[in-house]
Amino acid sequence: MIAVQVILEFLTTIFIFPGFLFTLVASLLNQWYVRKVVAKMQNRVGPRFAGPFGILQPFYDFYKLMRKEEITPNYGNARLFGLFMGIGIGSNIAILMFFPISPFRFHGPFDIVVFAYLGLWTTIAIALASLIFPNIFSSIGVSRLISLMLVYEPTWILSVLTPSAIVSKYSSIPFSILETITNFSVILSNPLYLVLTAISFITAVASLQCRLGLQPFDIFEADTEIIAGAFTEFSGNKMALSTLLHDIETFTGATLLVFIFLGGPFPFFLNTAEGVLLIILKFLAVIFLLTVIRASSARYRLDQAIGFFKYPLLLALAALIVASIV
Amino acid sequence: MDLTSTLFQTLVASGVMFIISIAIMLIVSFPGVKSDQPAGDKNEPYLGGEKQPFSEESIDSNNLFLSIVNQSLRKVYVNIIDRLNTYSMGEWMFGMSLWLTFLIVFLLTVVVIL
Repeated sequence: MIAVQVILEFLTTIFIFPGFLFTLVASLLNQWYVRKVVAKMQNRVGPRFAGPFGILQPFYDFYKLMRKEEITPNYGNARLFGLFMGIGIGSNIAILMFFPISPFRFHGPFDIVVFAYLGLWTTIAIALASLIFPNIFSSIGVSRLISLMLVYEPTWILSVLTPSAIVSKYSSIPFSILETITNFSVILSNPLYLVLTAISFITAVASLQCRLGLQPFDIFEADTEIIAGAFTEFSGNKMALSTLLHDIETFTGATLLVFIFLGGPFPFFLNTAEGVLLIILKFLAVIFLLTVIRASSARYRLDQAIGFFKYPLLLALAALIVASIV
Repeated sequence: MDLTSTLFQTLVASGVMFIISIAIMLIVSFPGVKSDQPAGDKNEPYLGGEKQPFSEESIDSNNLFLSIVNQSLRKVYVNIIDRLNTYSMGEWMFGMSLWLTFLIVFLLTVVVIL
């Protein structure tokens, strides 16, 4: 009986909350917010007609793309594509299982290793899904994506490690994501810890921007230069799924910044209305920051982007070393 | 419920990815999802207005993934095929039993180590 209950709890977590259904709705709502902010910055109106203030437009777009005619090259494999997109989406949903919002969660010493392992899968899934369809622009896009991954992924992991290293000094469970989130008050107890976490937050934002392929790091997509790069052969439901993966990755990345660097519901608690409201406000602020950078930047070349990343990478490394020593 | 072992967490996380990927693969394969399929000459690739056979331009993506296994384990594969495809049911059953025994021993070893 207990085993059945555990299995049901597990399946509910991965398919409903905070699993696929919740993530789908939240990430599409997030897409609407991003589109409205970008439209405002570019003196446009943005989504308007589907639902109040056009809030249902991303849902309609997703439905439309899923039903739309698609063209699969003869030597491509749509099922394999679905498998890789599923791996990308699944890895993001598994990342959400590190946060206290999840009823079935990962919590143990050094679970940050599992977190890093899951984070890699999204990029690998996009690269493999693109390589299924033989196309020169896809190949160029994927080679750029892999080149960027070599700089943004270490920066991302080092950034997340810094607050975790600080909290680990005062916790019985070292390098745990959940411990880092629940003991956020430790970071506020010392001004140096606060400065180190702020530096890590900046480097994490830079690497998240690159990870999501947002300007100025939209190098592996680079429309007007290499058609759509890694996404060139995606049409119909493939396009819908790749867009959904991008939205879910945005949602997961911003949620991670909110919980690890901004304390989640702190100073309130997660099970209170104030706590939930504060999480939503912090989340919208993070998305606003990412969107403003995106809407006000021009694309870097690949060598410029890799050259740029030596600064966040070294900063994140320095912050982690100081956090470990002090 | 909190999961404690890092190895166990990795396995569960991979399981979550696998379950969701299978679900999405089924959604993509489900015929009802696609309303209109391209018909006739839309499947034909064109380059500069001329018909361009894909076989001349690209490699089969199935080969891309399977060739690693085929090439690296070719000797083992050929050996197994030679031993099992003798049209004798007894030899086939022996081979399958051997494989099943190996799997069970492997799984038991993993469980005991964990």
